[in-house]
Amino acid sequence: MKIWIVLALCLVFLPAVLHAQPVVSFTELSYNFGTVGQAEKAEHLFEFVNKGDQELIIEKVSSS
Amino acid sequence: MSVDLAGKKGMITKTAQVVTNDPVHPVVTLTVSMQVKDDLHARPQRAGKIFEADCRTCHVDQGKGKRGLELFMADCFMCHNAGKSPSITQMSRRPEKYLLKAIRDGLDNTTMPGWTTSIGGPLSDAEIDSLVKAIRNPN
Ligand code: HEC
Ligand code: HEC
Repeated sequence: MKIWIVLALCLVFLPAVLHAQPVVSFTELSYNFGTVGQAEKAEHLFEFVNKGDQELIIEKVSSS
Repeated sequence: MSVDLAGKKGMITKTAQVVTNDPVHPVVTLTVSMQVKDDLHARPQRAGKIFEADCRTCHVDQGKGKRGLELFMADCFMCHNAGKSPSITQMSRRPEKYLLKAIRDGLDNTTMPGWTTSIGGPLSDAEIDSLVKAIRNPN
């Protein structure tokens, strides 16, 4: 009987264990500046949070 | 994300890839876009300003000595091509009187200036008449 309870608990917690992971979540993925002049500098801050339950590591940022 | 705009013009998009240890979204692509205009055109302008020194080389002088459709192509087409302002085909449906008045006096609250010399514009009555004819019969 006991063994079944343990197994059942394992089944309940297994997905949670498997899903322990970082989840990157940006508030927005694109931004439109509208019309800007050549002499201006277009700068925008993209914000994100880690919605997961493990440390999120930014490994690389590259732009094109 | 920052974009250096010196020397750029028109529609610009720039993307950045962010690589993380998130197993579901290992690469996130961020995009910024903008319409870059040169400094003369970045801000909305008062209509009559195109007749002033900085502007007339492009907006007035090209049409000097021209008449009719040629004058239209030189002075008017840059604003009246397919897009925001009415095209020559759309304007051809307007009554002659309306066209004459719009060209002579301009239109309030738009970037369309009054072109007649009697209010300080660059075009004579004969030149404006030739434009009205060209607009009414574009072929
Ligand atoms: C080097 C040539 C050139 C000069 C100088 C120039 N323009 Fe223009 N302008 C253009 C062209 C070409 C267009 C049409 C293409 C476009 O919209 O960018 C235009 C379009 C415009 C428009 C209509 C488009 C819009 O964005 O509403 C306005 C208003 C205008 N110019 C105002 C000015 C003023 C004011 C000046 C002087 C401070 C000036 N321009 C100087 C070439 C010039
Ligand atoms: C700097 C840009 C610009 C230039 C240059 C320009 N226009 Fe316009 N024009 C406009 C705008 C903007 C309107 C108003 C459009 C609207 O109703 O919103 C307009 C309106 C008009 C109208 C009234 C059209 C209608 O259907 O109501 C006529 C006619 C016209 N323009 C003729 C001309 C002619 C002829 C020239 C050349 C001598 C010229 N325009 C040059 C911007 C310009």
